[in-house]
Amino acid sequence: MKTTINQKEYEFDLQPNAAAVDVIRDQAGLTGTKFVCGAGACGACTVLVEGNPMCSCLLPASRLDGKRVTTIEGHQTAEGELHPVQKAFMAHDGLQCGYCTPGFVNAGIAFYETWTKANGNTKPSRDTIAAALAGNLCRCGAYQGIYAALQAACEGAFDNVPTSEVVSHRVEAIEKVTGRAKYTTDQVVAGMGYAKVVRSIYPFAKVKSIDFSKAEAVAGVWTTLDVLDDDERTVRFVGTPVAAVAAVDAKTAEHAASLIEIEYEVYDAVVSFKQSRAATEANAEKSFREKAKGGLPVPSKWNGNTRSYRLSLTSNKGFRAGRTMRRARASGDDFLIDKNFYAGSHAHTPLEPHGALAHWQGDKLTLYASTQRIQQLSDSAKKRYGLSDSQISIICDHVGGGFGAKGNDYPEIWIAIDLAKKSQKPIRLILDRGEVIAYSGHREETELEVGILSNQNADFKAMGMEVYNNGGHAIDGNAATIAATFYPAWPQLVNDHAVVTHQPPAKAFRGPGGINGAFALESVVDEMAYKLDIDPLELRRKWDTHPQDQQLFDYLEEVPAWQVRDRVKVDKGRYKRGVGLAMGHWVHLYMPGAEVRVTAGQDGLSVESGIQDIGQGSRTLLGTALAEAFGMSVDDPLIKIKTGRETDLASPQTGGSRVSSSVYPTAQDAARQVQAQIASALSTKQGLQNVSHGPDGVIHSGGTVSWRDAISQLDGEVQSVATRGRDAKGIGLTGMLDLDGTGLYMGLGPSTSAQITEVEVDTRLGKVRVLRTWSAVAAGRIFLEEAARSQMYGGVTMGIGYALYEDRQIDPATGHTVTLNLEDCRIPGIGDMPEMEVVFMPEGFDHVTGGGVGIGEVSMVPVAASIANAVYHATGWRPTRLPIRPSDVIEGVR
Amino acid sequence: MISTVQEATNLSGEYLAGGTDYMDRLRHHLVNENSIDLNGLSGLDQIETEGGKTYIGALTSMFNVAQAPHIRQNYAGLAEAAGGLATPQIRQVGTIGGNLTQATRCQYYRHPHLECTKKGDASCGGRDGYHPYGVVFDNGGCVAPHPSTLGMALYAYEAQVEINGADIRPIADIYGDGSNHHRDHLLGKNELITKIILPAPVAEKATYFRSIARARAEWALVECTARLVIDGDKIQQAFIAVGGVAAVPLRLPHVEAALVGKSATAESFADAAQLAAEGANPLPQTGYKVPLLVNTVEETLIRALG
Repeated sequence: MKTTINQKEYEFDLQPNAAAVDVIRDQAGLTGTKFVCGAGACGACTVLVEGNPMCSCLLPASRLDGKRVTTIEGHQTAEGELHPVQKAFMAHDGLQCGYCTPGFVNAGIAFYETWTKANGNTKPSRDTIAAALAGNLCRCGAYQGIYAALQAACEGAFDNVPTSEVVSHRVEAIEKVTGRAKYTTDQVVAGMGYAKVVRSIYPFAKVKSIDFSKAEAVAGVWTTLDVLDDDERTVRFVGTPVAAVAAVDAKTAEHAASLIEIEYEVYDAVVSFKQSRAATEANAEKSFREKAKGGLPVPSKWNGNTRSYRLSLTSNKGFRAGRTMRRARASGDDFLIDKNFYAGSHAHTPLEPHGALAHWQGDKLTLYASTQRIQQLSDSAKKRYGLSDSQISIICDHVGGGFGAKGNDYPEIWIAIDLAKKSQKPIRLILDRGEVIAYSGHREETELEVGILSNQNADFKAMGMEVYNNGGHAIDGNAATIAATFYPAWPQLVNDHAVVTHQPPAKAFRGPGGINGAFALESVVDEMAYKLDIDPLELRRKWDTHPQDQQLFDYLEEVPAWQVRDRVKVDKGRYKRGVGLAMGHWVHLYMPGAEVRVTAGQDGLSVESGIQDIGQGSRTLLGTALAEAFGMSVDDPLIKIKTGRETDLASPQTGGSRVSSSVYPTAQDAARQVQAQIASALSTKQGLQNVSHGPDGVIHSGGTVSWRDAISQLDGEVQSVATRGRDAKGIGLTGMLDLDGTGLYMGLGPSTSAQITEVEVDTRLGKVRVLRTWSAVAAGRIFLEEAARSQMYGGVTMGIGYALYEDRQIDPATGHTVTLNLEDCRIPGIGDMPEMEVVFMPEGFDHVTGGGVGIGEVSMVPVAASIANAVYHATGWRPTRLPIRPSDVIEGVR
Repeated sequence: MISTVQEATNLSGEYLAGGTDYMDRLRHHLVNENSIDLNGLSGLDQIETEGGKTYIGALTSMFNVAQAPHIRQNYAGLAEAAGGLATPQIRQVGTIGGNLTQATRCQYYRHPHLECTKKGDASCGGRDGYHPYGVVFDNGGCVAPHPSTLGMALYAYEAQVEINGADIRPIADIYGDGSNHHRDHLLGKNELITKIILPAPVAEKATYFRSIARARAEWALVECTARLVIDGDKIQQAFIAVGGVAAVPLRLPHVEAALVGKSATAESFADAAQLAAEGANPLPQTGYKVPLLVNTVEETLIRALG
């Protein structure tokens, strides 16, 4: 078959039924085209065939015969100029992790060409863009930037801007809009083979035997492996890795995997949340619950399959709160609200699947892995395989999203390394979408019982919250613990209970415990405001007097939609509009031991850390810290940023909003130390007098030598490694807690946010549409405003998905995940996006080194609650379940 | 490369047209891997008129059905259905013939370890499991609604299909009454849809509408095509079809009868739409679809009037 791709002629030998995406990626080597869902739902594989956008995952390769194909790599002119749409994506930050970007850019270019041909350089509406891009999904939530980019491009804003003059907000933007950025899935090592994992199809069973003989007899199979990691040879959830196979190609590996015969002794499983909550101590299966991992190191007790803390971590005056609530319940106090809530599970489903490529050369390991923790993975691997520092190299330049799903050393990494070791060949193991959704990360399902007591003076008397968390086969859940930080001054008794089931283990997922706890607590606070006939914002002002939060209220009070809001609407119209408010808190975390190295030499300045960029902009953040200290731009050719590799430096994992606060001030410290060294070297070399230094350069009695000139005169290199250290203030008991064994500390004071959301509820069709959001965030100094704004948009976007669409479901009879793909795991699309406004409040973090903390989690915490409160304001019906599906609205709003 | 219909229908295997359904099922090992590629058949991607009727070649892409001025002007309910399904990228690739014969979208069908009658299992795993997207007219077998939006729209147009370039049947004949829980359509192995035949256009108010949770690109919870022939302010004829509610697309003759002779007003639409759910026997998780069906029919009628 002959095809022209990007103006180059190709001739392909086609396998029967080959898909276009495989030919483009594997045979032509054009890995900018991404394979994500394989079902046409996400559009990451979009290519242009004769100028028309098509999903190459569903396109038979034979359809490319004689055709002209353009992939993301093919839009540059011979002079290297990018297409206006590519430039617009860079300038308007229409991307984060970048994994969906090639598909969006291709669909966007097809739209741009059609639009400008028909309408000239005019601005298309958001709705017109949404219709054209309905076949593309972005999990990071870069949609605001994508709208802005396409509008600007269609208006001709980039027609005459040379690529070199495009100002982008992340240093790797150009690699992401051209398809050059290499993710783990794109890495190729000569002679590599492909692996497939065989997983348990039962939720609870003993593996009696594994017969590899038929698989091993298949031509092209290199090796097989028993990978069941359990001393009792027992599986405790569907999807537990049991065996694995490596072969010459993916198809052979998959075929051989299907021939591995596993004999099980099947036990009765406790699959459903309800069933497990009902279990008693007498019928609990002890080894099952004791094998469950996770949870904070706090004294706990089991009752049935439910594990509860012996003392609540964050209750305030707990005894009094409990007694007050009991009495109020007994007397039927008018100012008591007791309500039960349910928040469903949803999957992280980062668009880049989990995966690794392991390559042993003698006793040296090169590992490509999609991970949120390069440094921690390196440490684990060294320990596991007895490697020294020089025997391991990890490469993770770009991560196509994680959101917590890649925040552990997931088993498939070890399986890839083990298969590579056994076969003595490089082995690539990439998970399919079903494996990503079912086994590789989801938020726990929770039932939340909340009570709140006030009085006629609107005083906060007491709050009680009991949360039951179904984290599958894991000790999971902290919604009550986080919720208690919202109004900490008042008496409250909160408890988190981990309910263990035979389901795949949940993983920490953006704002873990924060968002479901906020949904329940902020719903009842809202309800109390109505009961007391007080503006919900005024009630929060009264109950949350912290100056940091008062500044959020000051901003939100001025939001026009809030100012014109009236009482709960009970009009008879079909469309009902309402606005809702909710607060969000997140703990402030950082890594005191985090180290950053800055090096200066004649060829420039470099900053190095073992952090990874999962789309939040950490690479740019680190570079900016260095550039700022030297009075330069991060795009300056002198600035070099070294991340995405394992190093000798202690480096934070990405998670819990810890990275910015851990490395930004540290990089600036290292930069200042290097500046002193440069000044000293220059002084010695040139015999300068009265030498000091400042942002502009080396100051001496004869004037100032700019940093640029000073560096160019260095003989050899100077360098310094700075360590972040602990904050001077705020090292209390909680501050000393190394939360997860990676040197993670909790600092003083939470990051907080508050959001107003305006919704429109179509009561005829049960549809909730989010029209506008206003988010105010207090996280102190924002180091990189554009990236932070994008991250906020992403948090709001993900919160909308959680509140309205996303619903991960397990078949109760078998324990299998039912919603295995992106058409059933319904993440928000561009057409679901409201107009968003974000403001950052700088006050409140002067006591923190660097003056600011992360926002990744807190961005998402209030979203679902504010949507639910807006639905109540619009309809008079209070949602108590997430997601709020059309079925709920139809049944709720009568 | 196969070049004639006869050649294709003499082969044993599975037809491959646009491939959007086939390639997905291929990844789930739910196809006959011996694919019969129809891409070489010429003349089947054209829209033509003859004797007042319109003939749409089965290999015409959904994009082309949706964009063709002739279809947009005369068969708006079909054009909007073709333009409103799936995603822009899929509409470029998928064909109208493939849309009519696609496999169920039930999660239990594509799951390798769950039971499904459409895979040949004796019972339906979704019935006692997860089925909020299921039918509201339950006939005791498979709980999944038929996925073909265009099949549903063609019911409202009383379209016919041409099989193997010769045999002409009403569209409803290729689906039957939904009692065969092992099949998505009733075409034989050697039967290939070659054309879709639409009756001569009439002056009508027509539209297509789907109820979904998100803004776009989602399988319909309930969908409807409505056509109204109006003289003065009286409805002379009504054609209403719905999808997402039964094992096959449904015509709603009792709703149509209730509309004929009435004024085209919001009140008469609301009254007639009430009848849409007559005989509904929803599953435990599809009760919400009963009011949604009524409301979607009402909404479609209002939109048809414009």
